[in-house]
Amino acid sequence: MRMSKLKRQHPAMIVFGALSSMASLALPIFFLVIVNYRVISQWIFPALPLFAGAVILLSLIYHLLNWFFYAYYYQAGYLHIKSGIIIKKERSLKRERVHTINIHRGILQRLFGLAALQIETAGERSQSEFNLVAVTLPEAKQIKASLQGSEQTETDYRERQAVDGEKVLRLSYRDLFLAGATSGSFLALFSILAVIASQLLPVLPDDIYSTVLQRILATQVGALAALLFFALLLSWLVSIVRFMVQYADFTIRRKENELELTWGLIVQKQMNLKLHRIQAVNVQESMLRQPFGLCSLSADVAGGGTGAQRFVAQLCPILKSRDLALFFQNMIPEYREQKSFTGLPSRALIRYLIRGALPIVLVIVPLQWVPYGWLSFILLPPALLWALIRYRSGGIALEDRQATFRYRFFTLHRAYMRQEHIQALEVSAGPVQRWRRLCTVTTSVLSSPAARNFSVMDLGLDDGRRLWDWYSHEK
Amino acid sequence: MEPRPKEKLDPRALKAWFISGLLIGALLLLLPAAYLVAASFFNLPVIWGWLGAALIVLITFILAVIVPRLRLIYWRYELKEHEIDIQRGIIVITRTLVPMVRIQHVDTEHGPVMRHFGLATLRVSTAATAHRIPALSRETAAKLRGEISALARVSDEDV
Repeated sequence: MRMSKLKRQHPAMIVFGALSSMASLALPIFFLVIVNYRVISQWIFPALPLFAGAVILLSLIYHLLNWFFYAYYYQAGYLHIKSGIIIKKERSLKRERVHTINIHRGILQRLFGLAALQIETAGERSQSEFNLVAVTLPEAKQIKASLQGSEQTETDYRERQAVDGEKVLRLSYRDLFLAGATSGSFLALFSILAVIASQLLPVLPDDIYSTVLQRILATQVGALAALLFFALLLSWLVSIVRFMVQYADFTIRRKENELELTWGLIVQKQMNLKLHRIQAVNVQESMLRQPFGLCSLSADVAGGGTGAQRFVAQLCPILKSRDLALFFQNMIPEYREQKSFTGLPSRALIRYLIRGALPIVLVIVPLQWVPYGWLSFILLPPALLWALIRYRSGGIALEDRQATFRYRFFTLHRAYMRQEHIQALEVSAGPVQRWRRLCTVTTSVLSSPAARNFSVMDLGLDDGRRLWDWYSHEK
Repeated sequence: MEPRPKEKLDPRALKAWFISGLLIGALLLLLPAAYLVAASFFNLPVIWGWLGAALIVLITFILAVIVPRLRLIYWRYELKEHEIDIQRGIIVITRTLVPMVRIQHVDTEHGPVMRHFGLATLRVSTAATAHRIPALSRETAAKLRGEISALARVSDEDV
């Protein structure tokens, strides 16, 4: 039985408190100033530093006292808190009442190398939360352990075991940089910039608009191109930084029957994903990432969890494709990386080509009545190339109890499914497919918020039947 | 994979679909009728009203007479020990395989026309999908429902 003596939190709590009370005062003060602008500007503005100093000093003194009189101690299964400057309060908390214990580190806590501990019990929120906003991380973990483990020794044992058997993957900043650089979100950012610019242009006075634009178009096409390039570069850099901040320190940990994911710089997030709730694992290789041998992983998760878990879970925002097998082996050995796919038969190629070319042809034909409309023919080769790539991407692989689908729209997808998670299988064929002995296969798995379907189009009929027999329980 | 599931739908479905197709056609005919009435008041060209009516009659004929016959040929199902095999579709033919262990619940339903001919539709739902077998005789539907719910074992290991 380990028992701590009565102790205070880290003095940084004074700063946190002062900052948070000033933040909560900012809005009322702002409105007060707006409403009584005249009076305030006459009397207060001249002595603004004085007033500001007084407010800051008072709040510091208040929070200093608050810190001084806030004390706690804990022992196994028990937390006791004394607080109050004038009115003294004492609360104690037993392990049995604790619902959840969260340790989180906001940017303020990280600045001081501290952590905040939030303990929730049943009941009304204001009454049921215990918050320690400034304790060291080991201390927070110790308190958590003492409130969670039934015996201290058991906690020690659990921790030791975790260190031995635990598999951890932490993404380096280099990985995250690559991920951000290839995420493609900069295109979205760039288009937002472009929309804003296009909204601004008509607002400019006509003569400026015409002369400037004329000059740019006539003499400085290079400058315009440079401007565009610069805007692209800027949005690219911003999106990289955003990605790196959002997924900073992304760590995935395999525990006995769950995955623990933590990430984030400003807001640190944590998600625990029970393995049995994963219904399918998806690997995506976008067209920007594939050339660099990069991919990302996500999972379809059956619902029923708390808020943050009710979505397609990002398992890993970036991974080298050649490390996939290792990732599967370490983190989700229930699934296996699949290399040998049965591709689509060559008679399926013509269908993919027609499907790819048709929308383009529908655009090209009417354009022939427009001057220079024949230029639209340059759209055809890329469309056919894309169709060819799509055709080559299609395929399925069957192995024991796992089926893997590979297909592409723009991004190359691979869906790894275990037989027990497939809710139903469909094999369908239109007249042409029946004639060419092809079929389209679709599996349905449970996901949140809606079911998810995976399809491969124009698979050879024999392979479709093989899939059917694999899924069938009549053996 | 067998060539096709064994069981067919109940042939009485032809009559039921014919009647409900006629009812829908009659309802749709109200549209051109309303146009014709309006045309006589406002002096609009009546030709569009008659063309519309002719189109609806044609569609009704296809939906009430031709499609049901094709549907009866292609819709098939088979209940096996561990799974249900359903084939549907006229142009695109789809085979669906639903394992019994995946089935969450099964129910039957019937509207007024179906009830008059002693028919019912069987609905089977998994956690992610829903499937139906339309126009079974009500006895068959009830029997299947009983069999499926007996065979469907909810297992916690999966979901």
